[in-house]
Amino acid sequence: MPTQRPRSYPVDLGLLTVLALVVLAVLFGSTYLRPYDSPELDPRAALLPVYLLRSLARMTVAYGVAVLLALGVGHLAASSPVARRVILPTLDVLQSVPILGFFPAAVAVFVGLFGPSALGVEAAAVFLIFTSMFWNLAFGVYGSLITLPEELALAATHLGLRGSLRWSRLVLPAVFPNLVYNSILSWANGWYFLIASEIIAAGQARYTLPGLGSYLGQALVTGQTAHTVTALATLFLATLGLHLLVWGPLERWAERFQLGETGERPRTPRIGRLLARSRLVRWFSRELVIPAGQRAISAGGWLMAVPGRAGRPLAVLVVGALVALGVDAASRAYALFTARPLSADARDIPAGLVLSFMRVSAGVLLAVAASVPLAFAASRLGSHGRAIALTVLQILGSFPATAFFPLIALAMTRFGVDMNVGAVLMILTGTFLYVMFNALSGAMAIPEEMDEAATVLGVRGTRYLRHVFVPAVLPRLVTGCITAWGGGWNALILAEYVIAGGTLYRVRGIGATLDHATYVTRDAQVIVLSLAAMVALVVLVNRVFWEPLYERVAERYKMDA
Amino acid sequence: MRKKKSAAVAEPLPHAPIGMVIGLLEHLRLAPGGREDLYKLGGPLGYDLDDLLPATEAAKRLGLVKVDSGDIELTSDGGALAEAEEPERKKRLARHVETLPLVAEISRALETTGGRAPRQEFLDRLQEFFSPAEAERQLSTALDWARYAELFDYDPDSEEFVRA
Amino acid sequence: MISLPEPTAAGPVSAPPEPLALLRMEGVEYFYGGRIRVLGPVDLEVREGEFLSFVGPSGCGKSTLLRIAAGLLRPTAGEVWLGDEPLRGVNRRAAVVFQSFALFPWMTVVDNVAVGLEARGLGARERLKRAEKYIGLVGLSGYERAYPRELSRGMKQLVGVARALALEPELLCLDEPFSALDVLSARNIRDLVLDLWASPEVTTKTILLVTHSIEEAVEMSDRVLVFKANPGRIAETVHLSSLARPRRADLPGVRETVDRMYGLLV
Repeated sequence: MPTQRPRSYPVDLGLLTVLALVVLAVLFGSTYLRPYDSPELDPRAALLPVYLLRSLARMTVAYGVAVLLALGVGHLAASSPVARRVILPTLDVLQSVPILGFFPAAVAVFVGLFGPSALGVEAAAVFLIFTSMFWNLAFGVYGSLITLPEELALAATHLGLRGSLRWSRLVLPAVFPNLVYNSILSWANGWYFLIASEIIAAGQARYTLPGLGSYLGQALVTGQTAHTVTALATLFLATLGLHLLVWGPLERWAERFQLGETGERPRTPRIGRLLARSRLVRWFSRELVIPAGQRAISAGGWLMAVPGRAGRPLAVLVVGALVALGVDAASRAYALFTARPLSADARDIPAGLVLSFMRVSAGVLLAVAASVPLAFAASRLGSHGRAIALTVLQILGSFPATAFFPLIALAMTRFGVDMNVGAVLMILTGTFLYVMFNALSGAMAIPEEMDEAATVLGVRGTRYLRHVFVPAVLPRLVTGCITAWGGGWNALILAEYVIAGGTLYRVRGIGATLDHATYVTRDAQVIVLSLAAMVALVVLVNRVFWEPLYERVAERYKMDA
Repeated sequence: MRKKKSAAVAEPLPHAPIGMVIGLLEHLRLAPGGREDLYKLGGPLGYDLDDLLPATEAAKRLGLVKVDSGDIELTSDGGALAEAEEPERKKRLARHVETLPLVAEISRALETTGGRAPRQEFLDRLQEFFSPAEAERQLSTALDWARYAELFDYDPDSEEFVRA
Repeated sequence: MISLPEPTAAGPVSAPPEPLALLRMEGVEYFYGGRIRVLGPVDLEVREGEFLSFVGPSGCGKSTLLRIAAGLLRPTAGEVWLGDEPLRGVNRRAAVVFQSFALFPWMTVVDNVAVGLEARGLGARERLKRAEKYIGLVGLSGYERAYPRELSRGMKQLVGVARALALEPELLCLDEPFSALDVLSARNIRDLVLDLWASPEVTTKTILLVTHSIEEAVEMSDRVLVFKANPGRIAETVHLSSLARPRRADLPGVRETVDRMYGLLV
């Protein structure tokens, strides 16, 4: 971007190393294609850094693919009205789909492509993580490009910015702040699915990919507390390190790219700012993060311009391929359902669906019930307290709560509690943080003057809660609920069918039906039907309930008056 | 000795963009005798009070105008500056801007450290006398004036003041 | 209303040669959304070396016409001629200064000024040299590394002017460039534009200004096209080259012309 780009040796060195590694991997990667044994993970703590690196590698690859695809798709939707009409609804539906439901199918595809080798399994894991990162990135890109000021785009055209130059000087910088913000969210999502992706069950085999997630999962299941603690500590340090060394500097650099005035941002807690001022962080930011960011923008510009050059033929090809896939899938489905009559499991689907629906709804309601008072309390804390609360939430959000499902199952049996309660608790882990995060940010957005007016008028306590607080946070709360609704279904798939200490803990529901069909009976009819039913229900509830609710609430409780 | 220098920096710079100060001088140049009633300034210049007060204050600090009994008048330096064309005008202004304590400190630091002086150090210094937000504003104003006078510049990536 | 060519002081009366038309529009019309007539049909020409203004109320299509001249919009009907060639795509011999400045917030002043040159393939050193030249010409030396958010609105527009001039265009198009500025900055930039127009340092000698201020048009232009709205069309052409420069709104000849033009519009 600068007219004279300064040399950045650390970035160059880093790039060379990565390139060397890729070459090595390609040359010696034939080992990757051998059939994959599922080793018991070596539990020595000294290996944790290696496991961490492997997990990070998977996350990074998934993230890279997600960003590139999000840029392409978002840009396409923003620039072509025709494309927009197709892309946006598709993204909307796909993002409501509980990812984990499709996971066994994805594994089958990748294992089919690459054989039952390490490469196939790694690809499946990366795919899973990718699907947890992609949607908000794509919507974010679309959102920033749609709101680009018209005269800026016009000026770019008039100055002759086309192709890769337009990408690197206009499009990428314009989406950059939103991209950073959504990347942080995506990585938090990704960590959550990390465990699920590293312990893959496909058919009778269990593939375990060496990584932090599988290490943690193994430690929990075999009851090794020391290892669990060290693994959790490593995870904590890793997320903290990422925040300090990568996301923090990127956020600060991204401020430069803001169009218009910077809005109210929550101030980082003092300890965060102190750490950010340290020489290490500043050096890292100046010598590595920012130059790498600049390179990425230039390289990204070149890369994203490539499909543009291929233009129309490429679009036709892509659409053609998608249509072909669709036809193929439809014919297979037809063959599947005409081959034999539905099994008993399949006919249980409607009942299971209702039960699961009740569990997820309970999860969302409980999350709301807990979040509102907590957000209220946190909002009284003053700006430092609130900033700390937010940071804590962000770190908790990276937590792979799915690792603890076996523990919860065991605890339920220990205390003689019904497994349904356990399932709802597990679902709560997938809902609570979304709601809490949004409730808190809604609480923080209440203008001070409104609070002051309430105090002066003597509105306090429950009156305040009812007449001021809840209405004010309601729009954000609903947004949080919509996300929590999707998150809850994902958790459901794992929660209704838990293997802990060699025993299966199962409740009646569509998640259990799906898992049972995937891992035990391999009944394709049931798999397809239960997935379809789940997706249909989730999308229906979105369309019929959540979205209209949001419109009503957003209109009525807008913070404008 | 050090105590005295600290005190000088403690006097806040008025927050007026240098362009406004120049505008004020040019307006006064057209007035008879380079003198005008203060209350008459707002209208023709299109400035409101929030702009006008810092601008007149800044011109005063730089020794380009004097204010007394409700009138504002160009000093001889101010008059010469208003008459001058670029680049003469910039050179003259630079001489005045250099004398401001904060600007002088930054220039001095640039000389001793080989042309790069971290912004944070000046922020810390100023925070002995001002709130963090005010300290930031002081540095922004100083930078704006120094940029016009081509005394020094700022590199946002390394967060350092650099030689112009 | 067309004024006759001025007779020369000595010697036989002879018409000076018609100045070359840099840009010509024939039968240009613009429909919004393909159905609503915004503008036209319009015939006009922009002559080399002249300062031409479009004046009119909001909605008369003057900004649209400027964008058509710059090649940023395609007319729904009619033809635009650049010299002898029809205009296809972006007009590379013109440069635009926008009402909202349209600076890239993530680029420094010097990068903003140089970005158009980068698109034209100039090398880094050449870009820097040219950018610094024009930054100096608009009086922003010292601010090369500043970001737009650190600048006042007047300074931002100066960057816009520098960016346009750095392309060394034959035609400079100004789209209501002063309406977002305070009175003093607007006056300064107006004077600057006139100075640069006359200066040998700047090769751009033809200027097109779109404004809703009659005073501004009269102060600056050789010729003014007065527009009316619903639909947008040229109502009148006013020739001002006989008025001496510099023009201040309170000078007699100027005031009369302004009065007359108000009469035309209302």
